[in-house]
Amino acid sequence: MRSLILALAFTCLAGCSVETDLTVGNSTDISTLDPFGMFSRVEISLGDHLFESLTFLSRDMEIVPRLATRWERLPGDTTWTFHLRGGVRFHNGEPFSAEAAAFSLRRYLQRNAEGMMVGGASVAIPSSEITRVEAADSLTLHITTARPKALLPFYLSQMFMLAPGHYAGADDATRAENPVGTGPYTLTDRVRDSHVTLTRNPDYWGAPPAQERIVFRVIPEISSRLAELEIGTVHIIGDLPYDQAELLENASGVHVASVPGGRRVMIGISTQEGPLRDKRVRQALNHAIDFDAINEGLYGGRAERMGAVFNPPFRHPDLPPYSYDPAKARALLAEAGYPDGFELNSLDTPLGKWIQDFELAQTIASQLAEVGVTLRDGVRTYEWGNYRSKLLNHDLPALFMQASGGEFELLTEAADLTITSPSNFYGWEHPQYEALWSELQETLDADRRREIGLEMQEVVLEEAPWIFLYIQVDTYGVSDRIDWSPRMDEVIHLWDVNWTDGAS
Amino acid sequence: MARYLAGRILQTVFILWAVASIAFFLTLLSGDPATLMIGEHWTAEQVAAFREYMGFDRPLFVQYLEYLGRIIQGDFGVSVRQQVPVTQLILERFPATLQLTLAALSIILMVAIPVGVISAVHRNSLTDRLAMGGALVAQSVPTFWLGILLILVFGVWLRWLPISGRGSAANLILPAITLATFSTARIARLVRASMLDVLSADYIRTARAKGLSPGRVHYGHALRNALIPVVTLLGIEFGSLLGGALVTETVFSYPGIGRLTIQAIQARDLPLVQGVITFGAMLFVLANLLVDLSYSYLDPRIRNA
Repeated sequence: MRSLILALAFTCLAGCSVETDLTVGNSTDISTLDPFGMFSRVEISLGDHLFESLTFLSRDMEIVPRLATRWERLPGDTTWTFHLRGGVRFHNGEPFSAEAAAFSLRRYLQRNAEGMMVGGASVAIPSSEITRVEAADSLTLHITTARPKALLPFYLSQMFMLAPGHYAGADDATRAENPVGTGPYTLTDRVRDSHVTLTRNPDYWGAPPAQERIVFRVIPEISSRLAELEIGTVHIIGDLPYDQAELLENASGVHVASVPGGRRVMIGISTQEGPLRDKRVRQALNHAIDFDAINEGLYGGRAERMGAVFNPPFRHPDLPPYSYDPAKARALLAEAGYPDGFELNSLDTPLGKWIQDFELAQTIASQLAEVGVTLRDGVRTYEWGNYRSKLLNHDLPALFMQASGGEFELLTEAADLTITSPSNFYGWEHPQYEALWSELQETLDADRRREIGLEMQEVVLEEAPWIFLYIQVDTYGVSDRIDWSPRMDEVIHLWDVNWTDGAS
Repeated sequence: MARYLAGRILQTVFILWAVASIAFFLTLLSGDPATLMIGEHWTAEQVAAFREYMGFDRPLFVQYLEYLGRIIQGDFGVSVRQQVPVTQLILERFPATLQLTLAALSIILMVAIPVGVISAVHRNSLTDRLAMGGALVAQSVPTFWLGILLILVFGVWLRWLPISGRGSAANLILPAITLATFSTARIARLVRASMLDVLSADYIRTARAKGLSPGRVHYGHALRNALIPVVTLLGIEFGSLLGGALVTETVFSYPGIGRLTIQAIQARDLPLVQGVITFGAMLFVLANLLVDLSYSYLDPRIRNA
């Protein structure tokens, strides 16, 4: 027995020396290193270290220069000029130029037209909306859109610049496994479902990245992620459940970092159905929700009730959420002609898609019942795939759980509530909102855009096409040895992260 | 024997066809495959183009026939999310799963057979009771719980062994123990029962009467016969372990077939889901076939029945 223990101890000396490379433990693997196929937050996090785009979403979700240093629209508003950064090279030594940028954008458009999934996050630019991409000189790029398109710089932040010499004739396997961009790191090693190791790009044009090597590991099980964080072999873990966060707060050497993310969770209301056509009724449903109780019971007090519906940087700074006021809810119902309440068909929810979704739906159903709004078929649950089809086909009951991801871009988020949008599941149509939307599409002035965004949020809150619930708080476990804090879009960037204890 | 063999092989082909068909139709039950894979803000034209690209716009029957035609040639298509042939992804993971399976199987053999034999020989002794009590506990412990416990003890408190991942031999120890525990207990109990059966047989009494030493009787005569049902169970166990250990591979972040299966389902990567299901079934059925064939070799009565 003693020799066995010695043998184990010896194995440890050889096999489990403490990892010194900065390491992130993710719950899921990347699917591919193909710049055309990186959509998930994990993939974009990794992609941002290898590739760069013309524009960049800053920590405050503002569009800032990256490989383009500045841009302007030419008179007529459909052609844009982008001035590109000089002296930038791809990992394979090719120079970055307007030609390379044009090549990359044309590739995206071509892939998009072929029906391939393209572009970062959930944002895909329809290829028909960009009519021409042209290099005017080596560092000037012209892009022409079919209609005036204020969103263009935002879309460009989701499209990586590719080395033409590498990607021009590349087959699927090369694209999936050999990324060549201009980013601060280069690929060293990838083992599927295990890890990706990146090494500092010595020729990077910007500030030299802080770490020589960084590692993204796949550790699907939360207990294992926590254990690795605790022993110091991993320094950042995401997808931390709220109950585990409490445990972690009491551990030494690590801390919990949380940030309100972009995911907005609400109950969608079919606003064309019976009593729900009346906005007083919809407001009453909102006043019937005791969110503090939900927050304590289901989310460990970490969630926050939503008032303003858009994400930063366009979030309305002072729109108080609906208060829990059952008396007012009953009064509003009486005013609308339903002093004894009424019956709806059901509240539908996917099962296990969003945090505690079923429990949340159940609680809401019982809180609504307290003000007299009952559900004939109660809470009905669906497997996510079937629920998604129901959403996309607008085959929905009176009330349904819905969460909308954060794009951090006003036009995309505002579009969801316009009557022509396929993601307006609520049948909600409001003249003032539609007018603001039309104006927003054509408006370039940043201050006016912001004003429009604020007005839209006031309308939405007042008209209540949703039962407003909460904005999901993303929690991370972080080693005390690093100076990192989370971004609200769930993307993890490591190029400026240093050791706090002076290690190198 | 030839007829028996031909019958069994035919049966195997039928089962594989059935599994592949079930995999095909089941994966279509979870809603329109195109809507599951696209982004939230796609236009109708983009969805239509994607559906056409994936071939989802053709009649189901045509898709099914084409699918069968491809898998006969070992081609499960290309993973939608990873853009890599499904067969390549499966073969890439297979060595990891094979390694883990062999490690677990060695633990099972090294522990279960001696424990079973000793328990049977010393029936109702304290050793027997302890061993069988232990087996009961081992069989009742949930795999994920055992895995996490081992991680806490050997990874976090003692820091002897790495917690997760694949690489050195040390990485294999905790997952192999976790994976082996349930089967070890099951097989130890089977060995014991089977040994008890054999020990009461006439030829054992004869062997004892001849004056053979207890060791010769137990290991030379009894164990060999007692192992026939054990071989069957081991074969089945081997086949199912090769299909991937979903829970163990997840707890220990071990990149094998089990993880690939979960990834495929989570990403709703239909060709990959179909591929791993059919591949897992194929290994299981083949292992069974081999066991049956070896069984008939070990026991002539089966061959002629």
